[in-house]
Amino acid sequence: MKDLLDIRDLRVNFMTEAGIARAVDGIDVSIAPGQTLAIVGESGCGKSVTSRAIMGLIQPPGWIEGGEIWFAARQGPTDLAQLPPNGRQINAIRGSEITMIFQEPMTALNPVLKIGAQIMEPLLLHEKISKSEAKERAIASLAAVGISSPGQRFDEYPHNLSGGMRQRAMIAMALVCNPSLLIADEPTTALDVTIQAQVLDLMKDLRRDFSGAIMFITHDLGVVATMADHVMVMYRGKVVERAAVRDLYRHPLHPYTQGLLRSVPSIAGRGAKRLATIEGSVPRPTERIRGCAFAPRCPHAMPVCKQDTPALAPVQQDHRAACFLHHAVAEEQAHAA
Amino acid sequence: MQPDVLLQVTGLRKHFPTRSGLFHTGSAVKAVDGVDLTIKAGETISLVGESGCGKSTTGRSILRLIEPSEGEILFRSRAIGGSSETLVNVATLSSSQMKLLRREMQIIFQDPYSSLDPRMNVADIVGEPLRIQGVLTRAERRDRVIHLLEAVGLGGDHAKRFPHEFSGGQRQRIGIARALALTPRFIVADEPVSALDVSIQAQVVNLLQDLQAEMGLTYLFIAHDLSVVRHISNRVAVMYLGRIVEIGSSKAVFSRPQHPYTEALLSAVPIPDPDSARARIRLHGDVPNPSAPPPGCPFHPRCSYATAQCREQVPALRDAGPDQQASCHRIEELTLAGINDH
Repeated sequence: MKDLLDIRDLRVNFMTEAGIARAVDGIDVSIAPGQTLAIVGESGCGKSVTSRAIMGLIQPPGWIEGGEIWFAARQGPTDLAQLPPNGRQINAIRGSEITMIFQEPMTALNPVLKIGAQIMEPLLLHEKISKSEAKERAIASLAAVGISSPGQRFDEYPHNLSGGMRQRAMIAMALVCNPSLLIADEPTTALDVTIQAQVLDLMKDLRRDFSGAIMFITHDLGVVATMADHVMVMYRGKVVERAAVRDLYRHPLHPYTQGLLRSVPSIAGRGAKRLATIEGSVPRPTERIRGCAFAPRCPHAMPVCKQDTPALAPVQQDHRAACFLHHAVAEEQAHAA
Repeated sequence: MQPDVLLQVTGLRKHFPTRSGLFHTGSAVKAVDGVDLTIKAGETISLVGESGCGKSTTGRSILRLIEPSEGEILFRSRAIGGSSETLVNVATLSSSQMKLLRREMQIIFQDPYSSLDPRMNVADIVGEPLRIQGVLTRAERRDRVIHLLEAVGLGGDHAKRFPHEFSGGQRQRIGIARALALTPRFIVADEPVSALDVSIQAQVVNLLQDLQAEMGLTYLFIAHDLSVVRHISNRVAVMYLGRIVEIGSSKAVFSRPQHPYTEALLSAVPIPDPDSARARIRLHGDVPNPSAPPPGCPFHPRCSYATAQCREQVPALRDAGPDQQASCHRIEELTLAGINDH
């Protein structure tokens, strides 16, 4: 196993009043060590559910319907999808080898515990070190994320910190055990733009020293362009396109990706008076759709799109799209190879 | 007041008292601290700035959804004083006059989930302003509601459904239809697309622009997304700690900012282009506590260009180019970076 994470045909369902919602509907994801992969998509596309499945955080009314989540753990390759939700094995990995940063630091931090105690917690839980060593490393971690006077902040409560500082503290907590995979779920969405810029700069700086991989979940195409090496676009529980970041922005292949990129207004004031839109809205997650889920909104939809579901296939080297418009190209390439 | 001006705000202040202890009343949070704003008929002017800068409080104070502490809000009203235009000071109107004024001034809210009553159907939600004002008969009201729903891109067959049956984008269309029910001239749009996904956001931005062209609306657009602001506005006002620090045509403010805060704000926006290489102005620290703003220029603790003068004297908003004003002591000396085509 050369990838750090290798997800195969993952399916996650939720039981709702309206029936079964296929939140993640058969996706493959691989992340190489040290890579930063951004998962983008709009609300309900399944990006956050994917991250929660990796962390073993899918709880009723949701369940993992099928698929494998192979992770190169220190103990050897492990299929996280097979581990019992609160068992010893997942607890050993979660919070130490795989950690997570959430969107709302105020809800992710415990309001009645001091910042320092919260950062020491994963260390004391996962590593055989003394309390004083843990404190030392927690303070070093606070300093590494740019918190001034970390020794003093160690003894403060989350409400004493500003939003940006809380997000830094959460990053410090996520990195203190040196994880091999860091999942960042909309880590800057709740922050103001100048504070977001500080946190993104920090994450970029940390990436130079941090040897682990980052899975960056966001809806913001600007943030993706600044942070990621590779991008995966999700729509209605499926991956519709995956490429290196430059290829995706320069030559988006899937009509959904093209539509998304076009509907962002230009801050330079370029572009038409009217914004390009993707007509209609995302079908409800409980709705069963035959063929490509994007076909009802797609300006290029063909009869085949309403019959069959396109697979995610390579169109160019390292650039995959799940779209019949590109399948002829994909097939030719497969024959040549 | 110039004939093309619809609304003119002078010296608007809103101070919220804070309690620092059980028996001590503390200092006031100066959420809006002396805002002057002139809005021309038919234009879109945007208020931008970070959380707590006072942009929403300004918008709501103008509508008197929040009572302003001080200031004058002159509005060219048609509803008050018969059919001819009358200049009224919104800040001093009686509640019965305010009710009449609501026909001309409306608001669109950010969150399409909390701003619609879940127990009312769409026809009742959109028709409620008409019912309260008592301007139409029941049958006329029904026709008007269907017309409004069609104007915002929904069908008349949606009238009997309830908010939970709609997506976020559709709910925002319902909120827009309600705001338009009384054919207002002036609309405060408070982060109307912030809660929407990007593809839906584009649909709603286009709708707002189409309605403006059709109905001659004037928008005060409150937003933190600078790309949307650049797209939709004729003019932009940048707020920091309750004050306007820069105002001008959106082209001028975005391409040639004259206040260091505007420069930093623009440089912080992540551009959806992996090859966009920009020098980012790193702003250190956070926005200061608005109950204890720093002396001198309120931005000086975070400003990399600050001098001794900035730490002592409050800069006034002054001309900084054609159709552009900024409150900075160093306008003439500094050349700040804007957003350029790249």
